[in-house]
Amino acid sequence: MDAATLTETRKITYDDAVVRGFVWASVGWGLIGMLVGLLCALQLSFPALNFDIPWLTFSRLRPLHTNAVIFALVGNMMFAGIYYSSQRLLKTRMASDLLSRVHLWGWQAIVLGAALTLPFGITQSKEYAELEWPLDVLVVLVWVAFAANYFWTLAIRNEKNLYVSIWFYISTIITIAVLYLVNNLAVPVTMTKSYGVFSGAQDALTQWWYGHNAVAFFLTTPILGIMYYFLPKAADRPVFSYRLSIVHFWALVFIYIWAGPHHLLNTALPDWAQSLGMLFSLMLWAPSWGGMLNGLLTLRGAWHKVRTDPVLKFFVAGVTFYGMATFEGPLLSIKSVSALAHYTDWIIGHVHGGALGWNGFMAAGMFYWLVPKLFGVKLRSTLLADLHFWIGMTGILLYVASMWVSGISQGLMWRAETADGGLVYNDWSAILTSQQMMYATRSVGGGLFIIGWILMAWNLVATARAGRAVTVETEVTVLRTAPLPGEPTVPQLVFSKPVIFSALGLVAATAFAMPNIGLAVVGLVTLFVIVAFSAGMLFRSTRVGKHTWHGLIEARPLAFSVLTLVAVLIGGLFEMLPGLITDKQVPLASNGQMCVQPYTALELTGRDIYVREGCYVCHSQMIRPFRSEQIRYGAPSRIEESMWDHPFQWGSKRTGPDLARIGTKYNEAWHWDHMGDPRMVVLNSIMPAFPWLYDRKAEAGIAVEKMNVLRKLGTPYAEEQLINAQADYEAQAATVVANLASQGKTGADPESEIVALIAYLMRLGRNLEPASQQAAAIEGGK
Amino acid sequence: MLRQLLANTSLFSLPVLATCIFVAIFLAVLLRVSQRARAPEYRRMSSLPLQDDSERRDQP
Repeated sequence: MDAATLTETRKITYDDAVVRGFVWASVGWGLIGMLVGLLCALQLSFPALNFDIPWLTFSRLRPLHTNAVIFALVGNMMFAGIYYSSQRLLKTRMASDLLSRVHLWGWQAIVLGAALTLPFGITQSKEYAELEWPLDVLVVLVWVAFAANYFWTLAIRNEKNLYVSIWFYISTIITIAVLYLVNNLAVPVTMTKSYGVFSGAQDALTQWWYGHNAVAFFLTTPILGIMYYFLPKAADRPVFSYRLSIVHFWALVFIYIWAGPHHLLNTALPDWAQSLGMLFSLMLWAPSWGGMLNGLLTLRGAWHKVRTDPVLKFFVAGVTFYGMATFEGPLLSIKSVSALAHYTDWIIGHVHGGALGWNGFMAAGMFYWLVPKLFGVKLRSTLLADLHFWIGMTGILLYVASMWVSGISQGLMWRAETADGGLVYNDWSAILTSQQMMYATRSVGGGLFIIGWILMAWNLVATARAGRAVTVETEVTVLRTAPLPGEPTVPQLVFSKPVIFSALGLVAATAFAMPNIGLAVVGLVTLFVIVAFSAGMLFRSTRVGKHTWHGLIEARPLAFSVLTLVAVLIGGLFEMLPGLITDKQVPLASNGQMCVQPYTALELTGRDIYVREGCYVCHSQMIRPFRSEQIRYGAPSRIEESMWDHPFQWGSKRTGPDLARIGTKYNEAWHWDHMGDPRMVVLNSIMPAFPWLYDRKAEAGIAVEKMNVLRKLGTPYAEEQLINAQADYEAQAATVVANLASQGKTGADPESEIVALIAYLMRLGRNLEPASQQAAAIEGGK
Repeated sequence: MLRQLLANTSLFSLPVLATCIFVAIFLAVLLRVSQRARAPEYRRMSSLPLQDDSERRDQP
């Protein structure tokens, strides 16, 4: 301790009631979310399990499952961990009990809102961002309450330096706010329907910038913060290397944000964006494994405890799954690997390795450690916790292995060609049927994981009932360090050498990424020199006493937060801006006609039904430039085909085949039969039936309002199209009905939803046709 | 000579080269940080989570 330090003792009572609230919310919602997932998995083996009820149908439940697991299970778990560890690491109670309660109950209201809207088809259909605009507003308000409370707590803290966990929490709060706001920018049409401001490829880029970083900054960084706090506590060992955690943090938050486009490899997205996504995904290997090693090596000298302590078992397995998932992720981001794996079950296996292994096991480990502390008793049954571990582990292995097998099989079967250049597996349902054993195994694996979760829930409740909620009071020693002579101010720190050199490094990296070989070489050499210099500088003591540069930054939350925001924004700006600021040129044919016509009133209504039913959950609309896909589906998709699509429907999974050119493949009668009873048309289909579409009236009345909103967003609707929207709707619906009648399907109601949906499906694949040809196709009944 | 080098270099090799450099730097940093930290600040900070074990728990 240097001479300029004063010591003072303070009494603190932690607010652990909010922690208990988040723990129980996570355990309860998590169970519901996983049961919904199990029902989804079973429906892939037994499609009749939707009982022909809309809100029990796979395509509506799958978004509920993902949202519940991400935002309810992991969300509540991470908030519990954040509130518990932050108060102790900052040596202060949360600044506002009221804001903590607003956060706790507001978050549960959001989860409840999701449960009451998603199964009823109220969705934006953007993965993990499905919630419609009123709930989005609530999310923003609750997040602001959380952020205000957190930064206020940072301001009144009694520990000058911020421990590594706090850095990860700060990055989560800042980045999720940015991601959520940008990806959910939308213009409402009604209380339950809005259109996002981006469309087509821009929407795809924005969505996967968000989707990927929701994984990064919601499922990863806060859990890493939790790892850095709870793992040392459980092992009773300090973190292996504090310096490694510095590198881990900055490298991770800077690199992660660039990697979003790896979800769009081999699509119509521009090549430069795809390459950027792939390259940064590969770079993620390094910091991710640095973090994993730092976690596992924290147990040095304490490995014997893993044998007997279930908490450490869960943590060790969780961190190991983190390592496996972050190895597999970059692997899947290599373009040629993605060509095989994308749209298949392999991705589902990868996701669940992370979700069940990393998030699920870290949650369990934290709960087993935390609940006894929160209720002042020992864990009710260590044996049961051990049993949970082994059941859960078996479940994960069955789940992941079965999805690897089915995913790789699917990828290989989709592309298998005969000697004369045809497809070996023309029949899609034959491919799916061959995977049924794997689907059953997946259900067993998921079921086992849920059984383990139920054992945990019982064990935790029994523990809580054996004790009482405790109020923790503690005395902390506060070090009041007087500023040393010459200690830099915040602006001096932000513009200090390490930051300046990092910025120069980024400029060099940009030069390197330019498609100019001379510039690229100069950039590369400069980058090498600067990165090496910056890395060395990061650890060198400054001239100020014994403080390191990073130590000085750690003591200033504002400077730290600004630098984190900059690190995150750079990747986001580079990835998004070129795509977003490009003017949309309306492509014209040689005769002056618009190439890609906006959807008609009927097609738009049908498209919104397609979105509501969650068809994107199983069907892509993006034909990749592979021979096998051209044979199966037609010409590769072009970027302009989806340019007026709010939201884009490129999809991320092909449980069913691609639909980008489905309109040119079948006639209206085929869709009529197929939507009503898929197995009547395709014997072994596992698609759910949608009988309610035949009785429900479509929302024809608001089509013009929808078109008005879309016109404001840049869709080139002519004035007369808006004026005649209702008449056009009725005329086209009458044409569809007449076509159906001519194909033997009489009695179709022109006002029904199925007619609108068929009109949309018949449009798919015709976007590049001149308008006159499209009209002829509609008239001609295909 | 530089012109010849540039003309014969494929653009594709640059990302590969960059990845190799990145991994090499990462390994060097890993090696560096695995050595004993000299700054006492790191030792104090890394043991911060272990400091709150002296909490007093009062049942309401």
